[in-house]
Amino acid sequence: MNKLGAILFMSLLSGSMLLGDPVDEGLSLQATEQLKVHTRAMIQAGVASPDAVKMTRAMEDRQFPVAEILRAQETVMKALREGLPAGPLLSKVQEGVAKGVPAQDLTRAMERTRSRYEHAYRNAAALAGSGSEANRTGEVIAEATAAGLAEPDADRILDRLRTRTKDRIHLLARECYLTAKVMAGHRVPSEAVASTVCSALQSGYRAQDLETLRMMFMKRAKLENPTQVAMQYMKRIQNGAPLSGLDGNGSQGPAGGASKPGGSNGNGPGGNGPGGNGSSGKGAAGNGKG
Amino acid sequence: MKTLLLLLALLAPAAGAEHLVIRDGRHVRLILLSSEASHVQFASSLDGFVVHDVVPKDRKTWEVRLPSQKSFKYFYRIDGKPWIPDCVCRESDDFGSENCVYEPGM
Repeated sequence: MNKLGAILFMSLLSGSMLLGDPVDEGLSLQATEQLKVHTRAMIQAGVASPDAVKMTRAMEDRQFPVAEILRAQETVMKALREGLPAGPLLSKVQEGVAKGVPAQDLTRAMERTRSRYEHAYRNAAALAGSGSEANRTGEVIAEATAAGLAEPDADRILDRLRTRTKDRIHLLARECYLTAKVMAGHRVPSEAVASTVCSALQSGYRAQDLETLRMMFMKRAKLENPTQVAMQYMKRIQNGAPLSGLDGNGSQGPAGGASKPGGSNGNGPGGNGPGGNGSSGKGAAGNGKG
Repeated sequence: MKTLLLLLALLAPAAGAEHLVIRDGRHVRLILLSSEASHVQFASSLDGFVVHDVVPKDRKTWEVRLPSQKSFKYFYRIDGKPWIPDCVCRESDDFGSENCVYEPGM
């Protein structure tokens, strides 16, 4: 019996030695006990153990001060406590390490990222409850704000979305914020981005319409001033132009005309512009203010 | 100050570097042309910014091929220094600089 017990004990011991501890094995030999404890805490909080070790080790290898590594780990755990994904923060660490960013700048960037996701996920949940659909929307809102959409402008779009029926609202929201992301990424000022998207929503655009609008924008932004293209779309949408009429005669020049709202800028039937798609389009590059 | 230096390093054009984005069916080809670069690396959000060495096609051409149906952010490292091309769509990287953004349909 004693022999059997000894064999059992030995096999358990060798099994645990074979498996090892991912934290002990993954971190450097110089890793402090405090760092190991915090890395295990990250794993307990829900970060996959290879990811927790990889993040910590990457910062160790760059010889970041332990205090900054602990701060970074705390930011990840805080995000998880708030129901936010850890992925963008882990990715931010790898990005910062690859760019040779100093420790403090990296932990600040992680906090900015966490804060952006907090805002985005809160807004997405406010739209129509939490869950995977809301999380996907939150992801797109976070990307849009990273691209340059200011949070108050993201909130404006949200307010406009709330006036729409709840049916497939997340799909519509994602198309709105994807469009906003693309426009902001093209350096269109945030306010103009939000006004364009809000005008589309006000005019009853559906998810598919916003996708089309985004594709049209990207195509024209290759050749023209993106801000003027966005402003022109906004004016034409506000003047009641159908989606098919947005790209009418307005592509005549990046400076655009001086059309006034309510003027002949593409909301009529017919069409004689080079785009030839249903817009009367005279003076329609309209980027007139007001 | 460090952030400013990083920003300048990222925005400074690599000597004589040109960048092309070409959609090729299901793939997008990112082509870097530089006669000055000797070691080019690439990192993107598609795999959490793992840095990959880019194998040169010839003495001045480096090409990365990625799926074209998914949005991603990216940057290069040229001879160890981070570098972003003059791309049409960008985003803040939260470090005081930016990443290029690829969107399907671009």
